[in-house]
Amino acid sequence: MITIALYSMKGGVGKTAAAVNLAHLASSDGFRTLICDLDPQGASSWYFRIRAGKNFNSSKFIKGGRGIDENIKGTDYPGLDLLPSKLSFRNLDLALDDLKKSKTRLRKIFSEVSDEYDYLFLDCPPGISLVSENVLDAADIVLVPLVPTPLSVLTFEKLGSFMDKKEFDAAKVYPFFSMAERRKSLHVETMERLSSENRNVLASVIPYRSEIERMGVYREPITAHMPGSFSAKAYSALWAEVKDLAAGNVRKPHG
Amino acid sequence: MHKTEYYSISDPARLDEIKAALEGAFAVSPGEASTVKETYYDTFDSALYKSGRFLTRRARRFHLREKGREAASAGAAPRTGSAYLTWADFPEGRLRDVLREAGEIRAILPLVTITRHTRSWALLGAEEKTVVRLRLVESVSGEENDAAPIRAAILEAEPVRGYGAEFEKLAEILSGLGLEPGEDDILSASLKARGETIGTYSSRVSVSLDPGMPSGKAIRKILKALLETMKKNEDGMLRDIDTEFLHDFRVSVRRSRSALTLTRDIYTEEERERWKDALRTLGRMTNRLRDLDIYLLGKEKYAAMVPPSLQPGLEALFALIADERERAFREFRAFAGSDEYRRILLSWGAFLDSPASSGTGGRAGKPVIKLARKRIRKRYESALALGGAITDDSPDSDLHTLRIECKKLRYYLEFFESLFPGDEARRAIKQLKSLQDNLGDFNDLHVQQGSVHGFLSLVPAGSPSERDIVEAAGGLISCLYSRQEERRAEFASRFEEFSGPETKDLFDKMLSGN
Ligand SMILES: Nc1ncnc2c1ncn2[C@@H]1O[C@H](COP(=O)(O)OP(=O)(O)OP(=O)(O)O)[C@@H](O)[C@H]1O
Ligand SMILES: [Mg+2]
Repeated sequence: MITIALYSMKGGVGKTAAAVNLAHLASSDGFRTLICDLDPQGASSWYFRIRAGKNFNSSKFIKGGRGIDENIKGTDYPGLDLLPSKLSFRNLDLALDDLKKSKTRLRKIFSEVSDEYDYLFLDCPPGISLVSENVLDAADIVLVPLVPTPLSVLTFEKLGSFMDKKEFDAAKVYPFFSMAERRKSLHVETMERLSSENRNVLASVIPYRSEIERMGVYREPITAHMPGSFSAKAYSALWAEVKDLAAGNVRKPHG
Repeated sequence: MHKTEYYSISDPARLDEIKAALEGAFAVSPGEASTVKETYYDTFDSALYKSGRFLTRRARRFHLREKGREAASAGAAPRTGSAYLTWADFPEGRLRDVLREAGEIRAILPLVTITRHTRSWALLGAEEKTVVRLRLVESVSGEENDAAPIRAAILEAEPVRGYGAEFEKLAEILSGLGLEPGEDDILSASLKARGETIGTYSSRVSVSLDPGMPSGKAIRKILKALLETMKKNEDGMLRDIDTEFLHDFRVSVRRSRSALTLTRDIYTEEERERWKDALRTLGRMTNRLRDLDIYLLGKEKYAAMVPPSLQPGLEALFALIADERERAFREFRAFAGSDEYRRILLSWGAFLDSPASSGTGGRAGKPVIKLARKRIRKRYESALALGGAITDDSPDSDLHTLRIECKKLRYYLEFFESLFPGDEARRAIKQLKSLQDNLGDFNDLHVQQGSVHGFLSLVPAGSPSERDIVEAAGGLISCLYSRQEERRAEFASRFEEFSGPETKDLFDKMLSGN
């Protein structure tokens, strides 16, 4: 199982949109895929019309094992399952903090489903927290959506120093441009500059498009709802790149 | 967790009723519909079907589908040319790998051509979320030559993880309509509708006997089952579809001869001799062909044994063996077309259909369990004695004798498997198997050295590759010899395992009682 996190410190940059679409594309390729909604807001659960069971909560999640097994739900798409989030996931940080190995818990939890799935996508809440540290530890690949503005780039660079400080392998972090607008020269310049500076920047760009914004209305991955659309093709190109990374270039920091 | 269930719908007129019932309970959202005309393929022993896979051909392309899935997991178009398809005809890729793994030495044969209509629906729960996937698969076959079409239909219900309650609700609704999930899928249902079956052939002996059954009747049942297997393989053997037909045929002949050794005081001496002779002829007339088959099947293995410098000679030798095989096959087919062959099979069949085959001797009426215990014990003890006397200095022929003894023991265990509770006989066979494998390899390697030597007589005098061939044969023989020695070195530990307390307890348990 290859674990791919959609992560950024900034909110509202397209993490959930990417997680939902990439997971859908992975399952359409025939990979057994799980998407795990770590955000208490439950955006990805909502896109798949899935509600967590009544008894599910953050402490069950943190325990792993059966509690997780019983709460994974099938989506409308064959081969794609989802572990929904609960509002109580806002306490995930505190719950993790109480544990002995508080920084590697997610890795352990997910290792229990690793035989069942080829890909695991983590849809993360924004910010920097104990949850993010767990995510950065558990992920084989960290995808960071970047709205191409200087300020976002600055925040992204902070992530680099944070990872260095915590001794994570920054080489597994791959930024890609999200909500990009070609007609904004600021966007174009920012993209060119970062791409030349950072070898890990992915070539595919997710454009700013109203059909993506409207995903919340039709509540489906756009790759399922409008598979021929420009946006769906952008996600497909991104998935092709990520799949390549997964096939060859995954560097695992600890064993 | 639930799994996909298959509901066979024998009466298509009921579909409207089913649909109405579902719409009463769920929001139903129609999905894709498709129609394909496809031919299903499998090996003679249904290796793909038994592993939950369908191999189909649409036009020139083959597709591999897993049971319960609509999407093909692999596809490719084979090279044409060979009379019967095998995995080796496919281009490199997943499909070829799967086919090779399923049946390395079996041909892939067409089973049936159907037109398959698939319609799918999603049953929806709250917020229009899919909670169960439904597929109605209908097939039409047999329209060729203006015959009346033969129809079959299967409703597949695929659960969605986390929505078990809805899946159970569906099962309840269908059950209310008299529909229960079954084993049939669209292939087996289509074949059934045509009066055919799939997955029923096995080369294993499988006869169910009662301990109290008269010995003569039991023996007859065993012999009939073996003749049945011979007949099933006859066509494929004569058409030379793949080498397994002949192999399974021969194994059944050997087993039959072995079963005849159980008939003292059941059949008359004259009968015993007559049928043993007849079966021996069937074996003898196919020996040469099988030997050559074994060589040709092992070609890759042999090529790996000798150094590159000897490869050209080996190639040339194999070309001669292949020619010789053609010749041997023609000879065999001539025999199979002869009165002698027909007469043997017909008279053997007629005998097994006659009351005489239940035996007229004094032991014919005794309960078969007694016969089974006594004869298995005798073989087991004799195998122990023979094996126990073998030392590092014993001649090869001692291992050979033990091999024959073990084989007979194995056959007896197989014949009488159903008489023993649970899987006792299976377990005994398993204990025996590792020793048998060792002895079998040892013997094969021994015999093969002689055969290679014999093949040299196939080299035409003055042939330009004569020297190469002789050198390759020499290399091969010395390699076979050293492998034979390796097997011999392993013998002691294998035999120790077999003669150990675990096997003894098992046999004691099986053979105690009266
Ligand atoms: N490429 C895009 N074009 C237009 N709108 C987009 C695009 N990507 C995302 N959006 C919209 O922007 C909003 C935020 O996107 P999304 O939820 O994917 O971001 P996020 O990073 O997961 O946010 P959060 O940090 O709150 O979890 C959503 O309303 C979404 O529909
Ligand atoms: Mg989000």
